[in-house]
Amino acid sequence: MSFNHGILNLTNWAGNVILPTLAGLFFAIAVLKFARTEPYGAAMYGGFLCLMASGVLRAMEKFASQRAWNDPDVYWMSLVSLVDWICNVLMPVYAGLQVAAGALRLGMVTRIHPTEGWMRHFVAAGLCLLLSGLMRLAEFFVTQGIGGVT
Amino acid sequence: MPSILTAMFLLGTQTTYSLIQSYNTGSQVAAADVLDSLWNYLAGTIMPIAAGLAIVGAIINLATRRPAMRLVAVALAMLCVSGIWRLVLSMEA
Repeated sequence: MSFNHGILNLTNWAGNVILPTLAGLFFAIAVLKFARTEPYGAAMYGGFLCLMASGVLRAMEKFASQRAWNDPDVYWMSLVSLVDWICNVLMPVYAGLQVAAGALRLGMVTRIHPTEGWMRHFVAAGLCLLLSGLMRLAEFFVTQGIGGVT
Repeated sequence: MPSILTAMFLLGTQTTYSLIQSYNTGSQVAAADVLDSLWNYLAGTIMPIAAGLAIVGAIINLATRRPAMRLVAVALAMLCVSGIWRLVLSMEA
């Protein structure tokens, strides 16, 4: 037995055996929390992530291999790739989910009032799709502010 | 988890000893060769596997509503160990 094989088998066992089993448990917890009107998002997304552990690790490896292994910028580029992926891939998907949730709530709720939840969903979807623009706007403000107040 | 990893290391002591022995070139700079090979073994073999463990921990933390982003950053760093070492060297120069 070697330390290398031990830690490799431990990782494979945890990622490919235990996590898919725990996924069922997390889904059950999410259902129970949903029934009690408690926040269930963490358990639900945790269940999905348990089933996607290998894919998440492969994604991390892809982010970490954007530059050569001995390039000093490799960690920076990994973080940039991660941020790019979250903002340009995950957030638009989340925007679509928010539009669907907003439409469902708009259709099911008879009262139309600015404080109803459907508006929050559409605003969230807009913000998800505007992330890059908001970032550029913040950069613009900071760049303009360098000169001070005139 | 630290106890499990320590137990694994202790159970693999004989193999680790053989591994280090195989790194010994027997030359005048044998100590440096062994340390260099150990560093390569750590950065190239152990760290990427440990990154997988960190991702598993991050997922469990996320599902149980505990801080998970730190483990994600650590997993990314474990996959970039050599680059981070070069970054430290370039900052020092």
